Amino acid sequence: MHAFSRLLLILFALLCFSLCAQAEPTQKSGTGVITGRIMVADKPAPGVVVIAAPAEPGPNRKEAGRATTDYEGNYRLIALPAGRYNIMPLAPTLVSLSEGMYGGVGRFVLLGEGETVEKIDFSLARAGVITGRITDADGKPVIEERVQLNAADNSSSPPYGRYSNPFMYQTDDRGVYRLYGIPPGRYTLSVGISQDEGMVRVGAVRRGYYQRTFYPGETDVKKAAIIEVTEGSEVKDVDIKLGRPAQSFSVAGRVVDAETGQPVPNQIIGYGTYDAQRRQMNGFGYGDTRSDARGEFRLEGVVPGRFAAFVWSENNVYTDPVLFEVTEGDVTGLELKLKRGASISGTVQLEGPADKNVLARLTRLTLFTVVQTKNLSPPENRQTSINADGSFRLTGLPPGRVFIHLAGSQTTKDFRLLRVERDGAPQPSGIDVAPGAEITNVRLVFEYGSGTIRGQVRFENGALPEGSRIFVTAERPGAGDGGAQPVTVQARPLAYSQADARGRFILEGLSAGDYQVVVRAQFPLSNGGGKLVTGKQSVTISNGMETEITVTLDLADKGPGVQE
Amino acid sequence: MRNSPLARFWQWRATFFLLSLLLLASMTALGQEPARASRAGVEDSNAGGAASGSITGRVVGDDGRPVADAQVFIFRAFSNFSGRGSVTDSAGRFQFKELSPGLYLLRAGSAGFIELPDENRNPLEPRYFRLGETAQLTLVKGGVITGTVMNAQGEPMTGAIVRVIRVRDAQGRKLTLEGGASGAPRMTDDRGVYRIYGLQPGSYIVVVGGGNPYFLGTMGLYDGDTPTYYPSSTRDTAVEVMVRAGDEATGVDIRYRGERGHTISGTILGSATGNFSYLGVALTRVTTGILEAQTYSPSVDGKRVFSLNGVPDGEYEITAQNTLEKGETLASMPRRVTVRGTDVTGLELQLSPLASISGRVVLEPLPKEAACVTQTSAQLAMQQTLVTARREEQDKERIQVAQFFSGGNVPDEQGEFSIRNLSDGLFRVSVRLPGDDWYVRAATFPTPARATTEPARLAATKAAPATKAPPAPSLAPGTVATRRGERTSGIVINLAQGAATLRGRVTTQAEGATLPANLRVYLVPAERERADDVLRYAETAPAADGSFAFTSLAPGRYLIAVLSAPPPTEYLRPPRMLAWDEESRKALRREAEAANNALELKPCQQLKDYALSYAAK
Repeated sequence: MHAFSRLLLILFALLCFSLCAQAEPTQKSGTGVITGRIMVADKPAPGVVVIAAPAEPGPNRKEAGRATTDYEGNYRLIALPAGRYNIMPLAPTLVSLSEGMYGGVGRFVLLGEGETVEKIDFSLARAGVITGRITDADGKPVIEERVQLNAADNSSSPPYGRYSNPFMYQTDDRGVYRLYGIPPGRYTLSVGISQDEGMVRVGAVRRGYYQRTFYPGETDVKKAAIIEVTEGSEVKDVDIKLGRPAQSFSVAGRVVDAETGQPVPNQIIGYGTYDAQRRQMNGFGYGDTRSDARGEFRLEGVVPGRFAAFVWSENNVYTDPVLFEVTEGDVTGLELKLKRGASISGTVQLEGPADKNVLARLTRLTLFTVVQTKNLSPPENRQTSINADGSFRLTGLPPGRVFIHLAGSQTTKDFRLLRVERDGAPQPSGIDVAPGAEITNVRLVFEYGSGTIRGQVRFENGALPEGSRIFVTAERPGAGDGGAQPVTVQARPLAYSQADARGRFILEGLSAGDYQVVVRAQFPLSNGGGKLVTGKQSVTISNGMETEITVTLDLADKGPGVQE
Repeated sequence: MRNSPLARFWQWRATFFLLSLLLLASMTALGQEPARASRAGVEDSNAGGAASGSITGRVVGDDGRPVADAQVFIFRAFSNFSGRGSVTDSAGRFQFKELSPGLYLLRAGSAGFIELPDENRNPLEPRYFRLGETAQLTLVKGGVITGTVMNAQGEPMTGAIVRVIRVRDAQGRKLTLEGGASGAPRMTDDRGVYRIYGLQPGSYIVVVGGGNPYFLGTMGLYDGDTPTYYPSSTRDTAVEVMVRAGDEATGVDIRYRGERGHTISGTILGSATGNFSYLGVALTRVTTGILEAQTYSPSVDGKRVFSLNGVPDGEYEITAQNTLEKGETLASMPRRVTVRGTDVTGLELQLSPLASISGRVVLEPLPKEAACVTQTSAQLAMQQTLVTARREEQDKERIQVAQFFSGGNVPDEQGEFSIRNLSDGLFRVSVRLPGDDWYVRAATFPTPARATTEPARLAATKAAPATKAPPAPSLAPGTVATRRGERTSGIVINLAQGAATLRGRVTTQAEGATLPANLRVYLVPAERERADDVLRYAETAPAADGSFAFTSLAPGRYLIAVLSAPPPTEYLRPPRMLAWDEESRKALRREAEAANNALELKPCQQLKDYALSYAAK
């Protein structure tokens, strides 16, 4: 080719490279196939959309493929790359009767390259609708009030599927709500706040609130009317006429420095519900209530209940939450003493062979603390990340026993906190922290795992019925995970996964050593309860390698029955 | 049940309009002003420092009766103040105390209700409140749009995400993204029915599916499809739906087209390494500037990636934006992307710092003994001053996405101000005065040779390629030409006390004749040498009875004239003075000289009852 035209070609290519955008297929397509059949009320269901969604929640939420059932109810997902999928029918007005017990939508499939997996079937039923109107004592509509659907026999709500409508459980501008996709069953419906649960409201909260009222208008749960939803039914006029809103109250106090007694301005005030039985705070919140120039604050819109107030700060301070109870009037005189926090600092060490890429990923880890205190501990907000030089620092800690944990995350699940050392000595029962102490020379020892277990569950004496779920974990035989946990907490598995419809599973991020792989299968019984069957298998893992195992599950095993 | 601090408030004008489920219950559709929010704890009330004060007010319905239990939010103009909320009492009253001096914005809200803006105000010019002032806010029931979504076979579609985009205001003026607002998106129910309520009056287009899900926790059923507009159309042929406050537009049924759209994907380079509050990408149509799709950019294997789905064929511009913790923003140069039948992948969007305009405000107070001086101290006056920069539309046809097109800053104690996060272009700098007794005595702008180039904030950013032609050599007075990554400094604005005010009435020559609508009263400096001194020009719209008022006037000699206002613009634009453009300024001057109504204003003079006669031509 002429030098000149070659030059032109190169220039053109460079120009195009920088200015043009390439057109390529977005997804790597594969050759895997997943098929199955959808039945509704024992009849084939045509026209139902089924998707292959990524099994793990993550940034790539995009589906890998979708298909529609034909007139025989069969669907065929094609051109799928190997991977972990959640196969789900997209039908907001259909529900799965058998999977309802264990929640979740869809079936897990671990697809190999070019594999065909068949019989991923779904047996669905037409869901029902509950609709009605909420009005106040003057007959005016109550707008954007949350509606709660409760199962008639216990207090759990129906499963909230991935494709549910988040605005459904709220009245519109006419006070009308419409709940659809409701599995057949018996329910009660309520609006408002229950006195026993207590509720934290922060921000620009309204003064009035509605006490929990059940359809048709009862505050006593025992008098709540039962709403019966059958397949495909619409239950209308489930109206609630509310009484007058109750008045909420204010809670006033001040923030002082524990040492000097001087008022401290500009501190954020929060509060949480207090569980007297377990002596802990459950939910909590904070809005924009702050202490003023005189250190005084006033929380508004507080409903009756038992609570604890605290200062929310990201500085090296903390308060012991102060208990208070709201019954029939405003509360005053709370005193929040702001104390200097303790700090723990040190370095991080990685055990075992590690290259600099692995070390660089240490900075993506987030550490958080759990503190066992004599009194009620302030709500957890102490977390930190690891610095590029391998150091870390946690501040604002109250006195007590501090346990450092690694926050779990999809992108860092191959890291594990093995143990916490102080001055070289392991601290399996946590680090004892005195008030305001500065504890240095703490070492966090991590391990990084690149070993993989690829396994197959083999079923003996039967086949798994539809609606079963299989969970697989890898555990270290013996005590927990090296003492980073408090002894009272049960041993956490080091890796876990589901097994798919064919019993296949993968466990990743394991470091070299001996493990016990435990398979637990839960499946429904015809009487409405459930059964749990367990199988175990020992295995030795090396870093950077994939080990295959088979775990046998004896379905005739009279394991402990589990009533859900 | 943990809540993040209230009023984490996103810049409403920005293309990256995020709807968070957490804010669902507490806040209605966003209002108008870009008060930047940052994490709580940066700075708030000055905790009882010098001269803190309150702003109080009342919320009433359209019948004038007080509204109890309504939510009111207060934001400080152009500051990191994250805002506060309160609730009205049984008499509809609210109160915000311990506010540090400055200019504030108020918003009232209540589920299903909207704040009715003042008819006489241009909605794009916010109403600022000073300490000690009282406000009255009106809440009315919002409008409703409702209908059914069906597929091509006429069957109802469940779980389709429907949203509305306001394209005209109540007066029928077209809106840019700046003036438009979308109601909260809703999903269709089992009958395919959707209902969107709490809408500002105006005209809307209704759109189903497509783009990126606003429900970021759950996937939309119809993501990946191109959007369908009411009644069954593309954007260009969409039919507008008119809604009045308190009214319902029913039967807005949409037949879904269900065409698969394409994906635009790639990576973002140069994002901040520390904490930031937003990183995402927006796609706008080249012809209209209207937002087509937007999304977050998550981190995958250490890289920041993005993917816009459901994009129909067309010509677009794509911009990435990274908002850092303290409000500093990086953005990529808008880049053309054509979608024609296939996905577009491998785009690399390079973030770089934006432009800024800075300078100094110099106060020239009068001694306390002078006639018209109010109690305002110099420090307080500075805190109640606002310097704003707004981009002049160079291309009058295309309505820009109002991204980085305006900003403002309150000068600090030394009077220094810095308006950041501006795009390339021509910006007009304006001052909001601290009181009626102050006027702009002089404003000095640097010559086009700029001051120092601000070094790029991040390492490893190559200079962003300049895709715009250099600005015209002679700039209109009061304007600044900006370039990305550069700071234009050296502006000096002198504010002097001793302003005059002028109040009067426009009357007709004939007895009993009514005044035509759309009149405007103009003040023009009498001296020929001041013909191009834009600061000396003023204009105002008289009220229905002909009364008018001018405040903050520089002492001097003026000519006053009353003329027909320029024809209303097709689009809702920020108010513009006739004197800003050379041609219209010359024409105005000719008219004023012909009318020859001269008057002289002395310092601190308050001239009242000026009768101005209007003669129809």
